[in-house]
Amino acid sequence: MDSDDIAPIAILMDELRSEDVQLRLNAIHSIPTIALALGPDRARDELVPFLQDSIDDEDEVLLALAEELGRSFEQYIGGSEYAHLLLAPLENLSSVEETLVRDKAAESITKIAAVLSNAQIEEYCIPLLKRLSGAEWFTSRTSSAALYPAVYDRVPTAIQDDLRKGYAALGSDDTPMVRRAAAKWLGPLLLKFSDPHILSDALPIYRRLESDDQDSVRLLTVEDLIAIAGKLKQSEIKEQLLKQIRHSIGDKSWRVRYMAATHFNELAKAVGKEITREELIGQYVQLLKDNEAEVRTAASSQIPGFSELLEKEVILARIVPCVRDLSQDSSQHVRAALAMQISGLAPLLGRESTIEHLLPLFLQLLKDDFPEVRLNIISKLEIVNNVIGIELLSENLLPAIVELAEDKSWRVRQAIIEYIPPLAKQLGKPFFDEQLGNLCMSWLGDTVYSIREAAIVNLKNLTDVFGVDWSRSAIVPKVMGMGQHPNYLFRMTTVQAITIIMPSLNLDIVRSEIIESLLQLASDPIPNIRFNVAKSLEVLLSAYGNTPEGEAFVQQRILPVLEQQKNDQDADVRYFAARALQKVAVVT
Amino acid sequence: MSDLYRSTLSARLAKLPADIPSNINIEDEDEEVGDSLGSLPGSGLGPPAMPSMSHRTRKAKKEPNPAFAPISAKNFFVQAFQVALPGRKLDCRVYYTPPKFANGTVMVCQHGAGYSGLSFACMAKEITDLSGGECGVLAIDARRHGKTMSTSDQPDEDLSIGVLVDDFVGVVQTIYPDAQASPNLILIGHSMGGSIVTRACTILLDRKYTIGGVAVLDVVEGSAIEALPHMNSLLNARPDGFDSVEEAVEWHLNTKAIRNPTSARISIPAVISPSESSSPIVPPFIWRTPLRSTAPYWQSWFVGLSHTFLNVRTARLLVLAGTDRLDKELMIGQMQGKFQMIVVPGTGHMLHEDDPTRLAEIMSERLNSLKFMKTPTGPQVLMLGAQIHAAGGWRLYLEYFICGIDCSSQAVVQGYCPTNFEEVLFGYPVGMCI
Amino acid sequence: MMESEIDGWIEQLSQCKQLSEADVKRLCEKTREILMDESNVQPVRCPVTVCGDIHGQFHDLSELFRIGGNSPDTNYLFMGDYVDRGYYSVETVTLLVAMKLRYRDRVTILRGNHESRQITQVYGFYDECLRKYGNANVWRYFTDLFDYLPLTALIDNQIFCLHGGLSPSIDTLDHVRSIDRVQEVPHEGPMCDLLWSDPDDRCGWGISPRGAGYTFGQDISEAFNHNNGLTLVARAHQLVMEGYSWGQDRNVVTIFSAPNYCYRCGNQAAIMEIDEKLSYSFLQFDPAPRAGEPLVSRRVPDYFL
Repeated sequence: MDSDDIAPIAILMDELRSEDVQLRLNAIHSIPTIALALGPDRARDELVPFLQDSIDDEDEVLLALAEELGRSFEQYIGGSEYAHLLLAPLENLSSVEETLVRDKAAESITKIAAVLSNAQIEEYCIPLLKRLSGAEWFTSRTSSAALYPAVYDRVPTAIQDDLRKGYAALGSDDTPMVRRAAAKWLGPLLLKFSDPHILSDALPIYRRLESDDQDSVRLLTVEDLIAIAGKLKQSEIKEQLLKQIRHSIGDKSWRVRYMAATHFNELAKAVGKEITREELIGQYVQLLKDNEAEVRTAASSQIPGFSELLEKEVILARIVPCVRDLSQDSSQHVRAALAMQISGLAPLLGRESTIEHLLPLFLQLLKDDFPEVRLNIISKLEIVNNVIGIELLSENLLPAIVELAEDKSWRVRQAIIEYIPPLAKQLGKPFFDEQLGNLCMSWLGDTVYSIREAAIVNLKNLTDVFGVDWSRSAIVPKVMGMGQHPNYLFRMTTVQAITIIMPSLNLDIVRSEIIESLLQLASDPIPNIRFNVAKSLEVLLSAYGNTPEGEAFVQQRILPVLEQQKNDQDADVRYFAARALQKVAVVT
Repeated sequence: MSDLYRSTLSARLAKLPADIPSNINIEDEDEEVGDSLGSLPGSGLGPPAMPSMSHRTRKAKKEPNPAFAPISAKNFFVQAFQVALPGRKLDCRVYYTPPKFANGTVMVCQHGAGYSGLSFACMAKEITDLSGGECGVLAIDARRHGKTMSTSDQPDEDLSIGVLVDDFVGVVQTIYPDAQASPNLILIGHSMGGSIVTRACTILLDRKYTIGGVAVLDVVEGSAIEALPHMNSLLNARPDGFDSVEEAVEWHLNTKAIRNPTSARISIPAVISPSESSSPIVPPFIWRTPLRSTAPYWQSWFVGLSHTFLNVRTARLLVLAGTDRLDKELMIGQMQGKFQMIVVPGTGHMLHEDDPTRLAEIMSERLNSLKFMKTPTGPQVLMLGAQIHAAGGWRLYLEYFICGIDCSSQAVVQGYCPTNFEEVLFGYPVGMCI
Repeated sequence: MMESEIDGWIEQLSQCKQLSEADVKRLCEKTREILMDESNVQPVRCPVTVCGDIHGQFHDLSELFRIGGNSPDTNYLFMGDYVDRGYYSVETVTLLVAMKLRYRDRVTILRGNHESRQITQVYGFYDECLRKYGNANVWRYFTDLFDYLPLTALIDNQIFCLHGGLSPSIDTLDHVRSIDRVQEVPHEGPMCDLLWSDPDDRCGWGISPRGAGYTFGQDISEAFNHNNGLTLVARAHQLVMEGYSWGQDRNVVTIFSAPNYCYRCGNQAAIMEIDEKLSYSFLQFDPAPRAGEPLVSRRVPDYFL
């Protein structure tokens, strides 16, 4: 063999010897290219054994290898009929200490199993599975659990019988890590069992794990429970699972209860309405009142979904009292989770009950000390709006909104501003002017730039809602008034507001109410104001310069100012003036 | 980057054919290297925590390799002697190179768990050379380490931080009984030793010793605590023992635990001891300190280290190997300018052994910047300041430092305008005593 | 070079997307021409918004612009430490430099102690460049450019801005002006001190625990301000939990603009808005809500106790 031929592998080995982990990682990611260069025969005979024997590295590198081998690598070694050759290096990787590497190796084995023929599965995967399952080190046994679902339905029933026995052994392994893996993969595996085997095999394994003395094992059985319940009839569930359901939900470890709370809606759907109403409702209320804030948070996130399975009376009698308590929960995270979900109850309760029971809670949560709670309520008001109507909502919420308009969190203020235009539409002009008009103007003087910006956009949106005439009398004078302010930030806001609102007005208003002050600002002492005037004039040109009337206006009033600005002492003013003048050339 | 993992990898890869092979059968290579590494963590695709308890069937003893033969510390320290602490029922081994002048500076070094005072031998020599002998070095073997022995008939199991700190303070007080006459001390601690010297510093300051600074080598509370759960598997990865001292030295070099052969040949002989067992599965040399048995104390060594370090009333220096990995408290401290941090590239955890020259330079630079506060008797002038007096004239500041860094006291001396500020500041005989 | 091209770069960078290596090279070459003309004490006119350390926290820099306004509408003065420690040093420093190139009169960028070859090799910028470009060229372009960054700025002859603090070798602004700044940040001397020193409660000069620069007392800053007709020294360099902190009887203010520094310190950030009448106000801000900032799983170190 001459040295040219083996160069690719030599390079790979060289790079794998590098001190720099990044180079070694790159080397691993280049193995498809190397395999391609070698051709399928040599990739099989040289590269794969090399990878199997010689790779000994940091977890990052091993992880990359596990991943590469699962990326249809068989195409480089002669296709799926040789894919089983990749199992050997992956088998090694599925016994290392680092969980991430093992998981990735198991994932890749699963992918390879998918392209193997049933005969290959039987010949190569099953022995591998048995080796891993019976290995001395728990790491291998842990990895083996993930592989059962991938092969179970690909083999004859006799082997299936063996596999179920093998899995049961994992479920009662001495090492908790192995039992955890068994609990994790039981769900996917039992979906492949035929119905009789659910009761005869899956159920005992599940029961064993569900009563494990390690809570880290028990918490993983919640999803198994859901999978089993999904496969059983109502009567079977009642007979076989009620005790376990109660166990899990009432587990002494909060982590298990947390898991149950997180998956509660899935569980309720799997057991069906009847059992939910008879049995689960009581358990759910327990979780909502749990001692641990994490559990209450998780349970709160399920409120609307779970309530959908209940009758309205039951929601009122059982859920709403809990919601009332939770809205005063000592943990801000619980209240935030509740605030995110509580509006979801409105459609289920209907108008009257929402007004009676939920509205007071909304008001209370809007005054919560924790900004996230307030923000969550505001962001979901639309749903409530649809149920009780904006009028009622705004009447009740207006005081709270006025208060939140000055919230110390600028993102809360921003959320409120974004909520103003639909509110205005409902309130009508007189009511709006009286209640919210000043508020909308006051945001223009906010210390945070994004709020000033949102306030300007809000004024444009209000103009679109209430019309040009309203804008002329209610907005324009106030905005222009700010243009005389001694602080440049206010003058800047005036110019930027004009720029945004102008296209929604008309030439008449621009000529009579705006242009005079705007052109004055063109010689403001602050260059930033001057070039923003130029930007504003550019917008004016686009919006109004293309009618004869507008063109005359531009020629008379705008062009002289821009020409002057083109010679400004500040380079940026000159730039934006020149840009606007180019626009004139295009428009006229 | 995990150096141990890395070193394992390099060692393992080292047996890959260096030249382009005509056949890629790597496993046929010499077994030896792979064998002594086989049980390292992540050293293979096998599980790292695989116990080496069955120290393999002992293979035929190989001849000790003279390239790894022990080197005596006699050219690195001037003296080696025992310091008896009868009250503590301890007989401590110290290695000492006294400073040229009795009131000079001494670097007092405390090693990390499992090592010994000889870990600082190479650095000590470099410091002596760099300072022309003006700076002394004292390295102490901690309890249950090196040649420090218990004189109690009770077991001396207890390695909690309080005990180790009291031992350290005991040795310093025995060697320098009079705090006023004691040299200026700079405390240097590696890993666990960093924790000991940081805590001992406060006690020594209270007892009126002059402490010029504390240097902590490659330990950060946050990451140490994070690492503790993995410590057992790292320990499992070590062989139970060695056939010879040479083999122990070689193992430390091959795994890159230490990257400096000379240093390893001096320091490693002190970390193993003859097993004196006739059992065939017990190797002739075993670890001097059964580290696994110290597990109950690990937490105590590190909890609160960052806080103590940031509040110790002397100059603070943190030297890290390879990368910057501060915990929250140190990060805030660093960004508030509360200590100096130096990252030494190209070294592992045993940075003072890996690159003793660089470490000695760092310590000496530190020493130079602290030099002018070194006077044995009372307040010392650290710095001169100058400012325009409100009335228009100049006045000079002389700022006093008591016990190294306590900067609370200062005095204002009326003076007249210096023509060149810099000259006054730096040309003044700083270090003068008032 | 066309403004529109730089506008394109800024647009791209604002989405946290890095420029190509070739574009970074041109960016740095062009910006160097601008910086060469700037003074060690670069004059700046109010109104201007003064910002402290950023340290590669790109999303927090975006938040800063949401709070303070966009360039060029708002004038900015950044007092150094754009790179290191955060995950997006490359995008952060490229954006700030591109802003400088596009709007030289609207943006001022000073040098911080992290704008140095030596420091960036330890604290992350070098590694990030390698990771994002596969070689060290971009790091070289930027660190070569850093040598030209002005050391200090002077707002309307009254507010003296710099990264670190005062130096015992400097009593007048003319001393600063006379420094030959185009070099790597030295280990000692006046240039080093400007980038490394910290104010301190103790009077006079003190040794800095950082091992570089000095600590200076209120007497020093009072004298310096009085001597040079200044009202204030504004500086960055130190983390302050509220984002800004007055010191030394309002002779010195510290501004730090990286909220929750290094994703773990729990501090607020702040910027200082100076209006056209030189009155100032502080805007504090918290970390930007982030979706999917990479959670770096740090490898556990192999301490042998």
